[in-house]
Amino acid sequence: MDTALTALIAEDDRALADILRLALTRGGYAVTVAHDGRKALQLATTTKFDVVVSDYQMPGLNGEQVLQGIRTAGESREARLFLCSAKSFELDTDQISQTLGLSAVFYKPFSLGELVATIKSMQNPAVV
Amino acid sequence: MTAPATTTCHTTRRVLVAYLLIGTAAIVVGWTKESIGDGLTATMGAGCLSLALLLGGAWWMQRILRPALLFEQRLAALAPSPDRGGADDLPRLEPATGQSPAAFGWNRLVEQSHVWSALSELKSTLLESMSDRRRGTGPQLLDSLSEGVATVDAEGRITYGNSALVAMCGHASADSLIGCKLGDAFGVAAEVAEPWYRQSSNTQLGFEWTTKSGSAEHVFRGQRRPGRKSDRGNIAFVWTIRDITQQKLADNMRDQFLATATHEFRTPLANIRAYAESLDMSDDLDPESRKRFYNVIQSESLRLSQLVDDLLDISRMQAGAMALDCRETDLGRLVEEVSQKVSAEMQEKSLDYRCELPPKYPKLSVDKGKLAAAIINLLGNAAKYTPSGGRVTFRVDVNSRQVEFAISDSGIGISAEDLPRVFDRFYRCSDDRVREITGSGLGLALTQEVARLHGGDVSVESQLNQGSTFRITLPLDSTAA
Repeated sequence: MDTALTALIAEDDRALADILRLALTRGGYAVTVAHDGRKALQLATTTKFDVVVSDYQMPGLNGEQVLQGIRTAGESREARLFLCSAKSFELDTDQISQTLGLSAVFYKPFSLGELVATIKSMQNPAVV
Repeated sequence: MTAPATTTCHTTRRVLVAYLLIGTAAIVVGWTKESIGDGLTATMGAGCLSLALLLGGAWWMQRILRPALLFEQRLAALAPSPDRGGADDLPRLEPATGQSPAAFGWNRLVEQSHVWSALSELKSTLLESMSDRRRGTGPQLLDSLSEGVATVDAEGRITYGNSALVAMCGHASADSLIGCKLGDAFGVAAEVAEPWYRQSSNTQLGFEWTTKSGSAEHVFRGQRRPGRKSDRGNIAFVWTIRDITQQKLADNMRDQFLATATHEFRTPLANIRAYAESLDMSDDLDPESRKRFYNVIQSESLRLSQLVDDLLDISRMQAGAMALDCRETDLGRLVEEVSQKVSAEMQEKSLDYRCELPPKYPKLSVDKGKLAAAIINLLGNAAKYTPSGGRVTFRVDVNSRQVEFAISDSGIGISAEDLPRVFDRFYRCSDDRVREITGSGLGLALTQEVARLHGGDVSVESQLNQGSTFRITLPLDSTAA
């Protein structure tokens, strides 16, 4: 029997986190939300998630630190990782993407439909 | 210039001819009259007439030739003499004689000689300063520059340094720099400075380096240009060096400003796009969710609008163009209005909101809109950063010199590290509890600017987890800037 894929959203902006939760839930995922970096890393370390969608600028730890921690150890180290960033010129997202094996980077303001479609198109666990 | 002189010569010639003709005529008349036997009287008459004409002619002649004689005397004055100076000693002809073409020419000659004299003096000064670099106007000019200037030999050793360079290197005098390698003078590691001395290129090269003096860090940018060739054919260099520490700081602040502003714009935009898309794509949304989505779009639009307004105010503030519209204002009414505006927020969080107000307010000329916005910003912050059930107090104190608006809260407070920077643009405290609350980091910077434009200031006292007190003080006798 198929079980729902699990997704963790790390986003400090509550309004955006809410709409992401709704969109991914409608996309068939069981969604958990964390509003800061430390909480997200803690959750991903102890719980296995298939997908992690993280904002870059967050209190506690930034998105890069969270995804690096997830990739290094813990239950979700094989999860598909996605980064959402409001900054497109300051960050070297190509380098982060390559180092951490990110599945995709979304730049705000992104299309919710495209984000869900992209995540769903990569349902197989990441091979790193 | 030749025309008046020619005219003078012609006039003189005409006068001489006229004089000769008249004299000759007089003598002939006298002789004729004598020959026809008119007697002694006629002869004497003719003689007197001749004499009178002769004297008159001589006087006229002398009058005409006077400028020419003066001119000759002045020319004679130009003859070399040990007790005579240069062209400055040449006198101009006085107006009476100066009106003649010759005098006019003389005066022009004197003026010209003054110009020649000044040029000659300038040339001497320049030659003197170039022949001795430690004296004269050249080094004075170099010492007046804010840029460091150095000449180095082919081995990179300093042969000359101006005052700015001495100061940059922290030396007491230029003499102690002479002979030092340029890199050593700045305390730069040998491997970093090694390319500075390379002879490989004859073109202009630029280098940038950082030095540390205690806790202070300085960034320098140097331009190296080829100078003269030495006897061995090596090229020496001329360096111009600028302290770009402030410029670098300004660049960093600008980059940070852009990054933060971009982030602050994109976050509400992301929400607007996501919620609008959800409304468009989800036909099965219940009315309550639909209403909530519209509310998010509306509030995020307002957030964007407020951000644009704040950025414009900040930009005006930076340009020194933020102007106040000061009018005599009823402070009691202003305080009442701002209290009303924040009371809903206070109630929503169940905050114990108290106003301690004076019985009487003085008349004060202020920009009511901007001052109200500044106070609302402080009250809004108190509400935002004070947990539910906490306390916020708005107190107004008036004395003979100033009026003080103090906003105290029992909120999360500000750490000692964050406290000095809370009025910086876009600065937000590192406390996670602050990051969880929406804010642009511009409000306190604007509040400070508004207070200062009114001739007052804003201050803060705070302790982490104990609460904060922000105070706006305005002088009563201030006339807003």
